[in-house]
Amino acid sequence: MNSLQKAINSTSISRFRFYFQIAAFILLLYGGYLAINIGDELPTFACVYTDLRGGSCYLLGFQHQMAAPFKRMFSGRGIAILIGLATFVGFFVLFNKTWCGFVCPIGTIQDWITKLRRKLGIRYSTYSEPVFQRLSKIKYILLALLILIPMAIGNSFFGLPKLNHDWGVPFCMICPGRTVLPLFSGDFSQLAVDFSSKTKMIFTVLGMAVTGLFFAGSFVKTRFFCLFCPMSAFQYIFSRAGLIRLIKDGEKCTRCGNCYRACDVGIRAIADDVDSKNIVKDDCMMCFKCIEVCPEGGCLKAKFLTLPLYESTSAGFFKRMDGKNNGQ
Amino acid sequence: MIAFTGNTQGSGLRLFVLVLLILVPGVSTQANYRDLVPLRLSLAPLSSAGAEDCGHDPVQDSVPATGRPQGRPRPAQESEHRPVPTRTYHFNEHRRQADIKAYVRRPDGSVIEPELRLGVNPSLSFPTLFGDGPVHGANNVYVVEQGVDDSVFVMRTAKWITMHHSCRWGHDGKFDETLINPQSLDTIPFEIVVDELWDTNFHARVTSGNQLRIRILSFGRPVQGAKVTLTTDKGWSKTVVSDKEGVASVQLIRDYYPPSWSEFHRTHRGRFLVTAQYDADQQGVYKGKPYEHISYVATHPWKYSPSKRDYSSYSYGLLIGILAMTVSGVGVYTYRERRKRPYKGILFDE
Amino acid sequence: MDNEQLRRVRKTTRLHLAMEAEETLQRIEDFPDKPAAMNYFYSMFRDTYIGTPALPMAKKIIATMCMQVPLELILAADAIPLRLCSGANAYDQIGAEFMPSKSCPVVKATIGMLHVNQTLWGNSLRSIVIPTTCDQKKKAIELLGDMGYPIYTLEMPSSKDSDRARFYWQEAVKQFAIDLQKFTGNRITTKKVQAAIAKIADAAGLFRKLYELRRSTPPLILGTDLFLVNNAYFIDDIDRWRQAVATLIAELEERRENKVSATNRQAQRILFTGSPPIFPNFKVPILVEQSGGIIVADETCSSTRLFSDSVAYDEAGLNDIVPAIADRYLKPSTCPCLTPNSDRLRKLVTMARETGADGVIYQALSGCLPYEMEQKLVNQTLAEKGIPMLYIETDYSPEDMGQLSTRVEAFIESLKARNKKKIKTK
Repeated sequence: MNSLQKAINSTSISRFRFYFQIAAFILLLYGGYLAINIGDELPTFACVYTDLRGGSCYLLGFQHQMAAPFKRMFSGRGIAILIGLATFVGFFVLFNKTWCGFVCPIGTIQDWITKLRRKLGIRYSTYSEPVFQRLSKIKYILLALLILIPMAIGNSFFGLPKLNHDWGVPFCMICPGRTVLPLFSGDFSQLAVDFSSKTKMIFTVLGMAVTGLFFAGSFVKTRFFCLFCPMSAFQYIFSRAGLIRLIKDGEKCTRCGNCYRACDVGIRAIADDVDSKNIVKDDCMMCFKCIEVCPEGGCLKAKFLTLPLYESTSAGFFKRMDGKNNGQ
Repeated sequence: MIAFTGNTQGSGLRLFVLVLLILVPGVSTQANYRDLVPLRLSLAPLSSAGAEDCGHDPVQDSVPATGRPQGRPRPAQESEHRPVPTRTYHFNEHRRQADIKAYVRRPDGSVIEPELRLGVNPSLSFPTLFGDGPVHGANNVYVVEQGVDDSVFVMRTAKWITMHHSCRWGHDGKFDETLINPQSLDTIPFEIVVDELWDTNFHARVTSGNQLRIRILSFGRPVQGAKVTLTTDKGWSKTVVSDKEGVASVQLIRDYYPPSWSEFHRTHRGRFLVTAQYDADQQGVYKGKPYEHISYVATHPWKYSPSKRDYSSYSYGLLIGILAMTVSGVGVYTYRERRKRPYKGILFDE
Repeated sequence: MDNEQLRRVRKTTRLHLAMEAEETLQRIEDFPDKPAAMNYFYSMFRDTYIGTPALPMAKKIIATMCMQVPLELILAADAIPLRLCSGANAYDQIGAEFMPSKSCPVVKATIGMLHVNQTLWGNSLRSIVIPTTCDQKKKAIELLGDMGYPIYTLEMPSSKDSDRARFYWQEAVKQFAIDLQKFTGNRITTKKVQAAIAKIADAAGLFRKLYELRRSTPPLILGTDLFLVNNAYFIDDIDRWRQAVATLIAELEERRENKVSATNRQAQRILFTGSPPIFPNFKVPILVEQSGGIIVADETCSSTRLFSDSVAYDEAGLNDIVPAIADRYLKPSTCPCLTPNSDRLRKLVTMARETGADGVIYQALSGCLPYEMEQKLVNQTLAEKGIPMLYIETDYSPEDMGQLSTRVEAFIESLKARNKKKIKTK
């Protein structure tokens, strides 16, 4: 390991991530003011409901595309869907799940709320392992629903009547991004309940309920929403191809559990799994806090293809913990 | 001149009069220039006498010439975000002896002359290419008819704005001021420009309750003292006069009251028509005919929807949000407090 | 025993202890080329074991048996931790009165020591903390309690994999933190705990440097010396210890620069594991190094295991830090009193590979059932990886030295032959 790598491995990536998140937040929410648009198939919650945004979340367009009738989907229109999907996968594969940990504005907001709680000295809550495992399945159900419900608009399933267009973007209606992110541009219109049709009414009520739950949940649990995020489920399908990798050397692991304790999402497998090499699980947001607290050199590594990015070293561990113990 | 009052005349009589109007040149509108109806562009052919006086819906575009008994009056709609390769618009009439010119101002500022078809059902059409290009955005269609009648130079213009847009072409236009705001054309002698008709995503956004800011321009310069009338499809109208900067302001009324809530559609589009009229004391000669006054008439149709406040509620939304937050917060707090007590053991459920 | 008899016994035992300690230290010092920094440790042990034993000059002592007791909390309560585990044969004889003949000599010796030195402690000994790890310790709790000592039972689970076990241990440690405040009369605050963690982390950091230096080829320091250094952690003041070790590290780095080695190239690299060798019972390690081996790594609770893991917490607050401390003591623990102990098997293999060990010597003290019972699994695992292992069962008495030296020498010879064959076939 050369001296540059040593120096990097001794820094605190959490500090870097804090500033990076702010920059990404500003870019994604206000980029439109400078006419910046980094893409419309982003694997992160760059909410389309914020007007002058710097990029768009893939899920809105995706749900619209899923509403096409099967005949059209499997014809020329399908090529557009595939191109959109390919762009999404391309964006995602480039940075793997670091989109969640470093870029996502909803993740950033949750991290800020956690900082507030820590300042107030209120202790956190965690899930016990069996509860965590059960809750972790919810995001797959949401992913399935956000594909199937729009399909039921363009097609009739089992002879049932087609859904009307108010069902068009079911996930966007319940996503906290829709209600919370436009607030940062001064747009409060998404907070209203829309009574114009029964569907809209139920969806907007659900949306506001989820928003309330989001705030209460993220206050006590770090990264509360990430456990339920269908974007995370969608991304995980392609995570094995990601160019940024989080690799564990099981032989060096003493199963001390520091990584589990540091993990905001609460993934136990980082500590307990000593067999897998690729340690990115479906909830992982690749914030690399686990690498920061691992005292065994070379046990956890973040790499971009074969280029080492950030690695656990005992020198780095002691330096960071020293800073923490001295009140930083 | 036979005047039509209602819309329920027998078809045969209509036909006869129409034939009369067409076959007898110069007969139709040789009377007082004030009897001339404003020129109007529309999607479907209009009956030429459609807009004579109030009581008759001026925007009943779909009334066919054959006078077939109609069902619920429904104006023809142009789909907002479903572009078509060619656009065709009809206008209600033209004077035989006047000059007719048509223009289309494209979003990038260029002007083309559409293909004009005069005669019984005068119309114009022009192509609109797909994709992000010079045609992507609001295209202003103008018909300018000018001619001297009875020593009055009558200039009638009709305007139509069509939004040529598909979300798939991207929304980069939102950063361009000239695409977000309705534009005018400096070569039009009398024009109405209504501000803030669509939002940054090119969706029409006029709703009931909006204060419409209407500007009257002549060759790009503001006109003071023009009579501006706004008429909705239900028949309500209001007349104001434009000020020094050529601006007149009218607030749209709320007039969508379906019999029951389940019939309420938030996407319901009502139509309104802005008509402007101005007389100028000016003398001159036009194509060999002398005149003593100029009379300008212009029209500008658009659509409006129910106001968001009519069907959405902030108070309910915030109430539910705060309720969810409090309930879950209290739930979590209670759970945490309860856990402080000794370890909750396993209970058998027999 | 009445007072007169007790005093006589104490005097003779102390003499025996002094002799034992001196003998061990002589044997250690016999090896050539000792680093100068080791002198601190030699003199410290001499002062402690020979002559009048002086308790650390401290007002509050929290004594411990077993490394599973969280030292960070004791330091945070402004008390001095003192590990009582004894390696003295003299005390072992005394302790035979209280425990069966074939039982753990560490606990027996500790009980013997505590019995004989009962009146010495005075008011400074606030508590003896004994975790419920192995059977011998569990019964020692009752025996010592019966003697009149202030014993604190720290409840530890026998398993560490389930959430239940983890929770059980965290609650026990949290309760311990509260009780410590009662014993010492001092409050434990977040800042104090953080300072304690920093101190111990510093010690752990120094140890890791030592571990790295120990791995070098050729070896820079003898294993027996390092056992002594790590043993000193039991009884020495932590700040003085850290300073002494820092000096030692500096000297070893200098040695590495100048390519001075502790022994010759032929020395076989040994990984030592099993029941803890506690001063003055360094019988087997000394034997190994006298027979041409060098201990380059060890996996014992009197040496490496004290330092191999560190506390990491996320949020600065007692509700996160104290469970984090608890986790550090339970989750990576490779003590055979826990089941399953697959972590120990993995660790041995990794350590053997990392330090380039040629063979493993597994010492089990007779009566130490956990280590005795685990030797089969360890042997199997190491055999699968092609690492030879020698199993030695011994106790504190010097009687079996002859037989042991034959076996150890034979083992080291076989390792030499094996290495020669490996080089030939390469």
